[in-house]
Amino acid sequence: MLTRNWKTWLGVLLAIAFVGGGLYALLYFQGFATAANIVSILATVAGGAWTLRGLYVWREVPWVRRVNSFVILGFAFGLVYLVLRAVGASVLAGSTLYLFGTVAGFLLGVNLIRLLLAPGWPVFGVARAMVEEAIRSRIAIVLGLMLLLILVALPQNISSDDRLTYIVQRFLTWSLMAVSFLLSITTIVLCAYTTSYDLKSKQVYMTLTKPLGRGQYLLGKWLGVVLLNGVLLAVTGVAIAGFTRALSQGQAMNAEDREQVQREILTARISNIPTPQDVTTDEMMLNMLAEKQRIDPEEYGEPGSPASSLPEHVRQAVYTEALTQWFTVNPDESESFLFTGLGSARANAAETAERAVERLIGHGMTETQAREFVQWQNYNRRTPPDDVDIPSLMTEEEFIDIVALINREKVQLVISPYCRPEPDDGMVEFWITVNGLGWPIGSDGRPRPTKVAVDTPQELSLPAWLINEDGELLVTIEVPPVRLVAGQPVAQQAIQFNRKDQVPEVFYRVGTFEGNLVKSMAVLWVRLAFLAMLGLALGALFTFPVASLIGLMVYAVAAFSGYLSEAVSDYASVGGADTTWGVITAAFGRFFAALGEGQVFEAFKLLIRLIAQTALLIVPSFGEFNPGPNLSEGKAVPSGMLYGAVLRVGLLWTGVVGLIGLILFHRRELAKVTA
Amino acid sequence: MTQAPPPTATGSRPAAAAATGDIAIKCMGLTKVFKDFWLRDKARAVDGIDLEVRRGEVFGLLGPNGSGKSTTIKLILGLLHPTAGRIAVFNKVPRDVATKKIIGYLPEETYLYKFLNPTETLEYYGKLFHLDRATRKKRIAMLLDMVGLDHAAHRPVGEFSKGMMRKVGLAQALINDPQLLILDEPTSGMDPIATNDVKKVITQLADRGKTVLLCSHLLADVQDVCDRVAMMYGGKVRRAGTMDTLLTDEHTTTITTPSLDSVSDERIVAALEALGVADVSIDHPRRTLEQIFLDMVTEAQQAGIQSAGARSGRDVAEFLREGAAEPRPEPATGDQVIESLVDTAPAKPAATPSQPKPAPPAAPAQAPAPAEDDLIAGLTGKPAEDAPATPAPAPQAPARNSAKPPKQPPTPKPEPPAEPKPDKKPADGDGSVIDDLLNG
Repeated sequence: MLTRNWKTWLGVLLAIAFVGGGLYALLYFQGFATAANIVSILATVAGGAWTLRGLYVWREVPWVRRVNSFVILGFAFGLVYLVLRAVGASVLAGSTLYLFGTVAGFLLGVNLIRLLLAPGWPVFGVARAMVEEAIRSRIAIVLGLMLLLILVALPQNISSDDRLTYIVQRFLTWSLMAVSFLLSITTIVLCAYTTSYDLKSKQVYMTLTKPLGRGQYLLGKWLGVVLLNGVLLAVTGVAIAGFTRALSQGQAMNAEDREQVQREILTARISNIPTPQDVTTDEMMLNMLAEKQRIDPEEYGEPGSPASSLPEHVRQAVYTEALTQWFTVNPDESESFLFTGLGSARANAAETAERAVERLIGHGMTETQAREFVQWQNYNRRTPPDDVDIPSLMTEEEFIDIVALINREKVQLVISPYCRPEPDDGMVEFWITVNGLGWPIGSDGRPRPTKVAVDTPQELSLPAWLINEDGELLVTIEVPPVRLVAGQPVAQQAIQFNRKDQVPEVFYRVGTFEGNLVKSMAVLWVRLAFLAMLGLALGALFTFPVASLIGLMVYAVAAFSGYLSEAVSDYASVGGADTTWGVITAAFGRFFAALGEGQVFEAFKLLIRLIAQTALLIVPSFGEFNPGPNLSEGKAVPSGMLYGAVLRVGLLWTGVVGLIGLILFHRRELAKVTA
Repeated sequence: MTQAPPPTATGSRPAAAAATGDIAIKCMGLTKVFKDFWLRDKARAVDGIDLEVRRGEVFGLLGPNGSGKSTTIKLILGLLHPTAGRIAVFNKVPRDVATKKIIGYLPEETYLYKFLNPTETLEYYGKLFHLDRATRKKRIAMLLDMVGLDHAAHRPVGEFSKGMMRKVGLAQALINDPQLLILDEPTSGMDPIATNDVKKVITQLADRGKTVLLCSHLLADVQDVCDRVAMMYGGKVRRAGTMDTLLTDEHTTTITTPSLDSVSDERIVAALEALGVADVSIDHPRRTLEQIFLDMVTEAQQAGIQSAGARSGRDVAEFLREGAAEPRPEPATGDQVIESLVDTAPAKPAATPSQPKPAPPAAPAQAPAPAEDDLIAGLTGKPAEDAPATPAPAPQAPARNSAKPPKQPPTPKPEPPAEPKPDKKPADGDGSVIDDLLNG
């Protein structure tokens, strides 16, 4: 009865739309515009009233209920938006719209999952119930709200006094961290809860007495959580992208600041480190070793003895020294660094330059003017050619947009000069030649020296057309013997370019910010898939408190494995073991040795190290699969990270944890003594 | 006294089982010992039981709390692993996933997801049974209607009373139209009307040749619907057999007639005492509270009075009635009872037809019996026209053994007579008592 009636209601609504639209068209094209408008108004009023009536009368029908929730949500957010706009809080009003988009996107996503899980397969049935449980449980609702609030509150609370670059960077770092952290915690807790609660409250009696294997049960739960996490990540990803774009349009310090955001953050760049021009790094190391063996054969072995005969730490020290020597440029000397594999950067730049030229021509420039304009931009000149009157051709926004397009294809050479003792003014000076061309070029068209502060990473923009056809960029740095300070010559010192392993790097664009964000979210998704299986397996074996505690501990070890490794290494040293397994073996031996010597406290410390190191061995490291820093620094999330995450975390670790959990769950008796 | 049944439940079987000969559940030496953390024996819940449930029978598993009924069921369902012994469900191990497709199970409490509503709950279980969307939709609507929850189809189960949850539980157990229905305390928390509905479902399923394993300590429910029962205590089966075997009190004879006046009562007592029958008493049978309650509700429903709770008294879902086997015999009318009294002697409560019994002794039963009117006239001393034409029909209880009102001694069915038990020594046999009565 109910079904037939809502169909009637829908039919009448469609009839009103068709008849109203048809009449309107008929009258309008017959020239009766006024009558057409009246019909249009009447049809709109009738249709609106009929729609509202139906939405109210058939509110119990599931799909109508969903439409109603959208409508009510839309009205509520619209009202808040209008109020905020009225009181002048335009940023908050904008956030409200994003919030609505996020909530609406989430609801749409959930309905999409429901549709996806509609077929009558047992695994889908369990997955669907899992999704319903997740979205209706209090813990998920609270954490979801927290996530939304953080996303909305973050842009409001990041200092606006800073450079726009830093503001956007901070937002990206924190928002991604918050999303990753909250979803990880929620996933572990929810998964541990669902299986342990099913067992405790005996819901498995009803479920696992159906034609459903225990593996299918776990798989269904996992699928539900993974799909829901997918929707949550998609929605939060869109929200983050939206907020980031909105933030990047905010108040910047200057034009360079705004351009830097586009060039260095809202992009996906990869970096390239140099190779020596005529010799490999291994050969450099062997040359250095030969020199050392000649001077100190006792420490480095007899001349000619192989490097493999040396202890690992000695080999490493020689290698580092050889590299340092290469990266050190003495006064009145020069050193070359060859960057290879930059062919795609050159190709991208050429393509973008053509697009920029086309757009400039579209705005009324001649082709010559357009190409000259692009070339000037490549030479870092801010002003257009003299015979072009930009304001008459385009708006300021259009101008900035085209400049940003050209500049985004530039490659960035990042160097960190270091020298001791530090010069009085903290500055150093050197000349850079790129593929034989002096750089940068001054306004007079001639190369000029680069003056930069020591210990501070410097980023120099180079036009991509400087890259040769082989995709190579040969950067030569020459340190002049003296430089002028306040008109007086000052002797220069040797400058080192690998301080704290920050070797010179060349960055170039290989993708977009959005693409990078998608990859980042995909990596997070895979991590969450592992945590979901972990939580489910633990919940199937332990009670909720125990399962969630173990799950959270594993997450902590996985997420902070780098810090933990360093911390326990400092806490209880076990010598120069190279591998984790070597460290464990050494710690084991020393533990018993310390016990034998009666050093109880030392033994305790070693025990802690042993436990922590074992945990590090067993638990996968999320540090290798952390896209956050890449995203906030505009560096491309490598495909290798994504594939590695899928293979190692998504398949291997998730599979292993799932399999162990399943084997133990399979052996478990689901009922308890009642007799 | 009734003969002591064998200590196992693998005895004789009813008609439906005899027709198929298949065994739905077989347990051999089934033992379950629960252990504590230190693997010491904590409780011996089931202790070497042998059990056989045949296809098409309604089998009752009885016993007080803690007797091992639920543990046995959990072992049969694969929720527990046996410590010793073997279980076969449709000739497969209990955890065989394919076998579970044809099993419906209602646990002793309804463990439902409280965040789902009844429709979503049944959708969930329907999917677990691989049911396609159209079938799910159809069956869900029928089941919700059957259990009277169609009006609450979109309310979260968490808001339901225990009885309403129980109904959802029953619906989920039936969604796959199971071949084997295992019900653990199915009427727990249900009102008498809902209880009656459950019994109706069981009867209907049994009529279609489905097997039902019913676990309960509500003996009246079991008595009403079961063909065979096993009684457990201390983890062992202590009694087992068909309902008639267990319930028939062979030392007492009940004669059912329409209401008689006191003069007739005295005459009958005198007649019986003259035959040497001692301790004769005549009483009016009492109706059960359940029957009165059901009558009240039926009247109220017929008067159109509405109730806020779950609606009851609906028909069994259509898909559970489709393809029903031959209907069971209608409850015997008073005429038939009398005819059986007259035509078949010795007048002894009949055993179930499936019980293999030797041919009855011929002579007394073949003697021509007087007409019914003569019988009444003989008893009351009044012409036959004064008496009601037929005795009042038995109350329309939904029970399978419904030839008698609930909680009353079983009424003999018009079935072939059973062989007189050798240890029973009536005055002159049942047939001679009737003859004496007829002769005044």
